[in-house]
Amino acid sequence: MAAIEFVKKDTPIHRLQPLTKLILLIASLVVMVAVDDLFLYVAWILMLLVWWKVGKIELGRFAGLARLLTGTFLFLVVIQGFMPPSSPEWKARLHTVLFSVGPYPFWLEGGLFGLTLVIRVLCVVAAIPIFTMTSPLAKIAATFARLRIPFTYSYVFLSALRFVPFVSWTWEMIRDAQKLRGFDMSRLPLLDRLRRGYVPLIIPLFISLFRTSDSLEIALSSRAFGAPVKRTYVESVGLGANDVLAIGVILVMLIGFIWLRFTYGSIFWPFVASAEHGLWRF
Amino acid sequence: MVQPSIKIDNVSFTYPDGTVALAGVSLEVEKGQFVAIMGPNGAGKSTLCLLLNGIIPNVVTGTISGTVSIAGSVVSQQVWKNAQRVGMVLQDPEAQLLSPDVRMECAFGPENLGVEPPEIERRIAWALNAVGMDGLSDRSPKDLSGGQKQRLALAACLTMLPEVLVLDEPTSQLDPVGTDEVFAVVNDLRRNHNITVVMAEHKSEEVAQFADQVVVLDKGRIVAKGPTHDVFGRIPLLRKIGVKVPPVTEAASELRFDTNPITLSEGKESFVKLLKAHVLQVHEQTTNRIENSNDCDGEIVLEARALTHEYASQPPFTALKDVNLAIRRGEFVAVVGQNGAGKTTLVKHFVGQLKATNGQVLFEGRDVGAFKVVDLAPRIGLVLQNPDHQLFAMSAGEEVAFGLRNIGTPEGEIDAKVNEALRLVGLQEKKSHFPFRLSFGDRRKLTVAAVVAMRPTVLILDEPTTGQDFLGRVDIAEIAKRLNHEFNTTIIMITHDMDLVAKYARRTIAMGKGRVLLDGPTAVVFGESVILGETNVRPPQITRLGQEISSYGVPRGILTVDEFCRIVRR
Repeated sequence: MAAIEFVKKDTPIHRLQPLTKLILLIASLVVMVAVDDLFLYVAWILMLLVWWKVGKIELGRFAGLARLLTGTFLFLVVIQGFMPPSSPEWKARLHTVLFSVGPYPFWLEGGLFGLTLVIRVLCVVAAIPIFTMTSPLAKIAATFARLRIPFTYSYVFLSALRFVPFVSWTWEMIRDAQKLRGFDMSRLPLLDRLRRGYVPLIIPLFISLFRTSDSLEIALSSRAFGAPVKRTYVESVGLGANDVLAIGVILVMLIGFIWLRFTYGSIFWPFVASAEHGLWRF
Repeated sequence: MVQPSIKIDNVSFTYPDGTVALAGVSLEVEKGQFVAIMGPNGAGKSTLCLLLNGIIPNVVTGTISGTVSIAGSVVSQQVWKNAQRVGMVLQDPEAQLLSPDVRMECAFGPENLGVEPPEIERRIAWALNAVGMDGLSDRSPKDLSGGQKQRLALAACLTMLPEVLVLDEPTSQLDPVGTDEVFAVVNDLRRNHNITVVMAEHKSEEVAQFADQVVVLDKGRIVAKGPTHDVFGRIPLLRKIGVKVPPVTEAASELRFDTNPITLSEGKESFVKLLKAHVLQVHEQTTNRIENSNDCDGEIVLEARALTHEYASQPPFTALKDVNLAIRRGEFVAVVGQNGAGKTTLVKHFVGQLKATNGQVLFEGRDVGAFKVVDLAPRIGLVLQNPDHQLFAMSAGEEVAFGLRNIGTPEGEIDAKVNEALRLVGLQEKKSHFPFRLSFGDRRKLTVAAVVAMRPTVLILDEPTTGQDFLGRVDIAEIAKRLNHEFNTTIIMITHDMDLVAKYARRTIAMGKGRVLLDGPTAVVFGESVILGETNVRPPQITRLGQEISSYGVPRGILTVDEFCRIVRR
């Protein structure tokens, strides 16, 4: 969960304004929706990892994020492998059965389609820490204000960012606390865990969160949060030369990726087809 | 006529569940005064605090009558308007710090009020200077000590330029030095900036030193108010409702002084005067306890051998360095030391929740790491600070039975064990109550019962006094004492409350910067003031009084008021 929390460092990425990194995040979303090609997705992720490197975000955090999503990713690959899309175009694409479970074949192309979906999600997942881990919340708030997003909304978003690590910390505390009473969920059989294993953890978590949110409401009200006056910001969020340069690079890359996709069509699937053809000939 | 800074006129307040929190409270506070609100948990202290900036009844709702005025104007229904006049500091430092760094935390309030940025920057500089935090503006609140966090909360209020500061038990989670920091800054703000201060607080020694007036609440009513000396002089009343009287005051009252000392320096002056005049005499030169106070000869149950623990943070942080300890069956041990000294890290190794970077922990000669969770729980019990991290069942009885079932207790034995555990903590009448409807003190006792029911050989209490009033603190310590006497349970108690240590612990371990600085009989450890100072620990006030007047023959190892009055008599 610490993969989204701001970490103070002095790097070129930290020095960029949040708006620049927000544009990168939005560009990643556009790539995710518009490009639809595994090779281009991988190229985009590699580009994002360069940002990670320059921003000194530990790559281990990427692995951490990916681990969190492992279950969903496996599900996508397995489901698509056994049940690929049923359109005529896809039916024509299906050539290779990797293995079968009883009468159900697992299609290589279906599995690769599932993998494409996974990498697609990672395109955006990898851009999130660049925005949240290198931008102080106060600057993000000021950026949102500049974008004319009401402070109440942006504060809800920022509070959520703050709350995620807190929830994670509280969960660990509760898990350890219940172990002291001989309750070790990791040793419960799966069915027991699903049926009643989470109850001793989830109820204290909710109670703790309710109590904390009560205190937070009092703290916010005591500091004039939501006062019906035009809010000011001490943080300056004007774009510098580096921001303009970075935004330029992002836009050029984005346009380049879209141009590649729409000029040459899919790169990945023809590659798969020719690889399979080669394999058959071999 | 001078307008009072605060005027509370016949205010009553009832929460939606029918709890009457305040009943006919009237109070006037002059500008620049420091007023302490004291009383047991549930007396109405927090409610009174939250009334002053309109959080009650506008955010926390209920039925209210009467009026509250600040500097002559009635508290507004628009809380943001009140925020400019009344600053509020809450008990939990974590819950009230809202920003990623110190500077932004201070800017948050004035930004909400639309103050121009250059003016905000000026106020931040002034406020950080006023609370002694110059040069820390880029720090993350997470990296501050407990005392610094509360000083930051104060600075964040100051940037809104309030006339009144309200602090609701701001030191309850702090070690003695953090407590001193907060009181010193608040006192300074009152003196140098003429800010009115209202502070709900249990710590009577600090209140005695700094407050001008004390208001004592009980069951929503004011039962005493007036100058600090006068209120602390009402010892029978304070004892009856469970407000701690400063030990020097108790000793002076016991010895029938004409004067009413409430601070250590006043106490020393009064005692020296009477000792010099031979009105008081020292009847024993020794406490007859120091030499044999830790005479436990049970076998070793817990042992730390060359225990080192390094947290894998950036940069790595060494929380324990080469700790060697042996705890014997039947001992009552206190572990003391500043926040961050390594106390909690140490006990987490005892219960197998942390693995040693180097060295090992043995329970009855066997490595703790070799035990499964279900095997260790009935041997070593740990009661955590926050009961709300454990409670989840629909009744107190089920809550206690949960641990017993996890460790495989036969179903036929569970009810008897639940009843016995609830009896030990005094909750037998509340077996069917919903745990979250219990008071904080009772919830804490319930978590003790849940652990005690498993009848552990060692019971560890981690900061059992946090958030507790005076009687609540004594209650928990008495339960531990009973277990120690009745079942020979080994007790390890981590605490900042030195009065409890003095009264209950026969052995004290003082930790600082991950090392054991002192380990021995409590009276002997409290004699080492200089080493204790390194880890921000101060012996109890009565011990310090004995030490201050030791040149008159008073032994240095006195631990309690009773002991003091037995040795120093008329």
